[in-house]
Amino acid sequence: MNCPDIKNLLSAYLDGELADELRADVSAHLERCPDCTHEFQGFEKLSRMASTLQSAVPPEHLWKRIETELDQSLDADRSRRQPMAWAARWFVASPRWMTAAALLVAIGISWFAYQAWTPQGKHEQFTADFSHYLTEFRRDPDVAQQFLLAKYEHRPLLPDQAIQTVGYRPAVANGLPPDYRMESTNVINMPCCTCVETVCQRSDGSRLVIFEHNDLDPQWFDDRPEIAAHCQGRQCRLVEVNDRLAATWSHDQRHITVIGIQDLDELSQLVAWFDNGK
Amino acid sequence: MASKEAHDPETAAIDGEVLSACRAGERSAQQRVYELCHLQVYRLMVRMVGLQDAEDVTQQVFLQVFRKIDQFDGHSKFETWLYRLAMNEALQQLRKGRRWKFQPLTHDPMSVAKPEEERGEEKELLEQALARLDPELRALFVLREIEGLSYRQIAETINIPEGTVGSRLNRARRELQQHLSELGWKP
Repeated sequence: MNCPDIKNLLSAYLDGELADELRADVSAHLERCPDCTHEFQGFEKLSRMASTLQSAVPPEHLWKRIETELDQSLDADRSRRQPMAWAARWFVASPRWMTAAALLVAIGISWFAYQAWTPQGKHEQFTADFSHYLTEFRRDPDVAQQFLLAKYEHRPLLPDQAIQTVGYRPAVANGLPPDYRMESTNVINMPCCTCVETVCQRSDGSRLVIFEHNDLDPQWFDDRPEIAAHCQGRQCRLVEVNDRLAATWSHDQRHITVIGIQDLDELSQLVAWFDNGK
Repeated sequence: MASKEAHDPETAAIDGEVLSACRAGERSAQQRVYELCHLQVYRLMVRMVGLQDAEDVTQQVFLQVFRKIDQFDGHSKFETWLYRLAMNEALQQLRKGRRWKFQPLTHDPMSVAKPEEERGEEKELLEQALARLDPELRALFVLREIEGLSYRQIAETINIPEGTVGSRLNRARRELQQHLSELGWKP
């Protein structure tokens, strides 16, 4: 096993969650690799620090507060049940109410169906889905990717093959900056545009995603506030998404949007890399 | 190999009889559950949402426990079910964004003896770094390092595949180290 493999196992090794054979492999590697040993010692140190954290004591009146709340819920339940029973009897005995209620339900369903069918409705649905993707991406990039691919028609392919589908050779076909590894590329057909999506992994295992698309404003970020910044001579539009940056800039005849950028230094590096690779 | 399992002797004392009485809404049984679990839940909430909101969220957790006790089917340990409810409540609270950046616990109410200066500084830095950590990663770190849960229990608690717990903990520990470094910590 090489260093990235071992580094992926360091927490499980520290926490005693590895099978004996794997544990022996990690031990043997740590004996001869100062870099992995350094990272492991950092984890050990954190663990020791965490063990010194002491517990706070809950206030003594807390049970009283809970008990009061429980009593109030019980009272509210009782008072709700009585008028509800009366209303239920009246409802069953009144066919006019049943007709009116059925009509209201039908109007409601039609309204929601119309909303989903109109361009505005589709747009709202898309921005809501993409917003969910962005939030999920920060939490778990794998789950976010599965969500996106489950939502939209897509085709996995190698970057060089994308030209047959989208009509251009995507920027990622020229490779990625050192320390980044290409995990997967898909052509995704989204309501806003068809784009080439590439999931990349940094050397520390974290991810970012590069989208290449024709439209300047695919409205991925809904009404999140955005700022314009000059970066390596390019005008970039930046949006903050859950402690990370998303940035869009024009590249060739198209646009590149990157999600999961750590900071402006990383953005500069990516802009410069793709500019040089044109 | 045998996986480590955290067994809290307090929650282990919650048996079928107490749970049945709880389901029937018996106040003495509810109080018994509270007495056996409140230290654990409060400790978790202090680390997750901060000292300022811990009391409110702990109250919400116990109200949820008593409202949803019928949903506890006994397939997992009561402790795991309780942790799941507590974590959901904490994450929901944090998502509301009311007090996204909580006040770290810089003055420990339990501290009786004055710790060594250096260790005290480290604890304070760790509190601050934890407060900066993404809530989902914080949940993982707290469940492992403070509550001592096994990977299987963590997976059940926050509803993720067991195979991803290790890699997520790697990320939590690396990000925590990064926050600590930014705060001036030298390992």
